[in-house]
Amino acid sequence: MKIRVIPTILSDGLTVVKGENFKNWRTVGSTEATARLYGKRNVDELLFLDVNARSRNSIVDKELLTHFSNVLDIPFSVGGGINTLEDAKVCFRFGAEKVVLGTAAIVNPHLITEIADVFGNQAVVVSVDFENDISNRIRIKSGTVDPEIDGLHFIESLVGLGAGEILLQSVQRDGTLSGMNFKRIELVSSITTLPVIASGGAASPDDFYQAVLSGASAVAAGAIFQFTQTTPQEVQVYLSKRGIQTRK
Amino acid sequence: MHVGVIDLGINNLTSVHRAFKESLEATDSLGIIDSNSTIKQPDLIILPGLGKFATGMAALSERKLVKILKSWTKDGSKIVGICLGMQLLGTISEESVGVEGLDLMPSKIVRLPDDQNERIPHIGWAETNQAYDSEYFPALATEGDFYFVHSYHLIPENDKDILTNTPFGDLNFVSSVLSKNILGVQFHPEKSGIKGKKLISEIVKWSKNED
Repeated sequence: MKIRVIPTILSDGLTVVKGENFKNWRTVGSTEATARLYGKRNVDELLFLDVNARSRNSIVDKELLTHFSNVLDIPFSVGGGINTLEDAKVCFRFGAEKVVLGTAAIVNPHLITEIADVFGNQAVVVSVDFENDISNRIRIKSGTVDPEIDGLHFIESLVGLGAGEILLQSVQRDGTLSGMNFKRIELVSSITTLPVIASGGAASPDDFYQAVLSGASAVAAGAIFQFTQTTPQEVQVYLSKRGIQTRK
Repeated sequence: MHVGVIDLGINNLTSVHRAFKESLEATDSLGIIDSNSTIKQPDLIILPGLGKFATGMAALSERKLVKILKSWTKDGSKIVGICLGMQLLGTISEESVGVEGLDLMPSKIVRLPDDQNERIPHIGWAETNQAYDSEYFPALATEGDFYFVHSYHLIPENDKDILTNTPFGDLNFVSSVLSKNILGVQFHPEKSGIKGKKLISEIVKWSKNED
């Protein structure tokens, strides 16, 4: 299967933001313009996460989603504040291929099943946000709360619940450009049959390559594409020169 | 020419609508079909879909569209099923045993093989290899990939209906089918960038042919 390179767009609901360790958000640009730019550059897929939706008690702004589906002729996933089947329905209707569940998947795992029963397993991505490199503890509510469950056990339960993909994140490495946790990518990929999107800390094209060698089906990254000269295309070329199949 | 996009309430209507609208001429019209009442017969019907086979068929039944789709296509309307929409054109599916499909394309829908050392769902970009030289859809033969996101695939009863195959591990699955006025694509042309756009304009052109 071909490997996907996925730029992550984090938004506070209005603008694109950049954070570190799931906090210290600062504005870095216009959401629509960013989406349009990636769309023009024909990236593999986009991951759009509204980091503020849960605290606003809403999902991604519908107007923003409409802009997205108007400017994007590539696939995108949407996450942030999705609590119900109805929330998911809105995201799909406005053009999302997949929804990303984080907090809700852990607080109410049945929601995964409920959405998958209507939209299919392939439409549900579950984000698992590990706290740090050392333990298997995870975080919810944008990294603020410890739900006190074992992240690996939770991952093992996801196929049965009906999830279609895992977004593997790291609070410790998020936005830090400090490299990725390949050991965890390898471990998680080995305990699930679902595709794994590795995310958190990618600082160079070689990080993407190592993540793929560790078992990731896709690598998502934000900071490297916003704050370094590296583009998703360069990463694709880097991968394909090393024998990894990428989009043609 | 009139194009009708079927709204099952569970599909990515906005994207599909946008993609086809871009390919139409000023004299063409584009409408949304969400019931069987007071709608004119489209020349081209678009059946987009996302989700489970049973949910898709239930949504068609609720909207009383099963019969009318059969009669329109019998009467010469062309139809293109996208992703789940392609599977709904089929006869039966392993995903929802006991549920009848539209049966416009005699076929069965089965799960992707799990012994190919590939992860399921199949999510991402993949090539389409033509089973024969199609005069209508050159985009299927040009260099480049389409975007797939699915766990099931369609196997037509008649091999001649296979338009393209796509590799999955060491095997191939049928990624598009064509039988006269019935077209199905497992991938998402509306999400496949420039190449997808090209295919959509070819679909529009195909639907304007008189045969």
